[in-house]
Amino acid sequence: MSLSFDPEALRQLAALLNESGLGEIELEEGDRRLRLARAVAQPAAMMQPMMAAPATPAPAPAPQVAAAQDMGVHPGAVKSPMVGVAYLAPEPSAAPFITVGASVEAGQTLLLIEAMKTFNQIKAPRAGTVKQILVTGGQPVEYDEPLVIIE
Amino acid sequence: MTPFAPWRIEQFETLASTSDLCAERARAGEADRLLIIAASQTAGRGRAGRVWSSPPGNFYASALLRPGIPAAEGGLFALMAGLSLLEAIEQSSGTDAALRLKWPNDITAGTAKLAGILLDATIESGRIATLTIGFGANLVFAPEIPGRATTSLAALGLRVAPNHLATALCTRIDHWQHSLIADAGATLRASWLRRAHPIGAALAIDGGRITGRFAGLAEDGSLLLAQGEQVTIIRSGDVALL
Repeated sequence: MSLSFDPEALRQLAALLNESGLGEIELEEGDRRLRLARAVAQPAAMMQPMMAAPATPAPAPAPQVAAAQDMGVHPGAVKSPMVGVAYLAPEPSAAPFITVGASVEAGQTLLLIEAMKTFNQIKAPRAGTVKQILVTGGQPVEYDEPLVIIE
Repeated sequence: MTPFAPWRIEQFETLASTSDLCAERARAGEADRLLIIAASQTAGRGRAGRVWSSPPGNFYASALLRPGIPAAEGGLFALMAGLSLLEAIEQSSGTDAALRLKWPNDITAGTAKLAGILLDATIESGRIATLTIGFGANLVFAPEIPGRATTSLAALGLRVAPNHLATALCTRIDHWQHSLIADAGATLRASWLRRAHPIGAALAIDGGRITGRFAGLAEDGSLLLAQGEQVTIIRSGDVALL
């Protein structure tokens, strides 16, 4: 197989994809077609169920997506500062950082987002009570996606 | 170019984990540029809760940085950590060994893993307040990992003193962090690519959940994987060379 992609052009397209917040970009030129898509690989622990799942993704639960977008404008929403995979506990066997109804202090760790073998501790911006946790462990998250509601 | 503060290097015989102590010191307010080294670890860790076997003789160190950059740019530090360790190993062993980077920052000799890196960051107001970079390099022993080939510098006929490696590592981190500031990672990405699996290499992500061919790096350090006419951006996952 020969790769006819220009790495520099790809890099710029990838940057455009990240900046635009789009899920994918598709280009067509004559009989050539290039589709650039964003994907976060599943964590190792999720591998078996993911591989057993059908290749075509289940239809997106539209009402839930709408709910997440509503949460994005919630004044108590803590949003993801990056693209990655969310983890609710420091390690697979440990207790979660927070639970719904728990009080948190400013600066307390709410969850982890992993990207490129970097585990990022997302800190509470202020003290309050955890009203909702909007992500599950092992779930891919997008930039600016609401993660937790603190009131 | 504003020089960074000099490194403070602290050496210990045995620690649970150099990264745990480094993170603890960060919480207590420790300044940028602390390197903690241990001769052995009792609770060394890898990705996804895996154990990092840490007998005496190998290299275990964690660096504390306070980059203050947006969290979304942290991936460039993951690349920088691998390239810095690779160059430090080469400099301190005095040889241009055939070592390669595997995305994002494993160091391999052939198909065998020689060194690994795990980073822990704290994010405040969308920025990286503290970054702990944990380095593990097999200087003398190659721990057995089921289903995975491992090697050591000794097995490659190379001898490296841990304290030489530590000072070389600090120098390379300084170099690449200056480079990152100067051109937003352009030189870093190009240098990383020269030392990594070649463009077009067949890769499997997460044990074959996604397979494709290496198509380069995105601006933020993400892996670009070509699958026919589609290119997928990978931000997270275990990469294996096929």
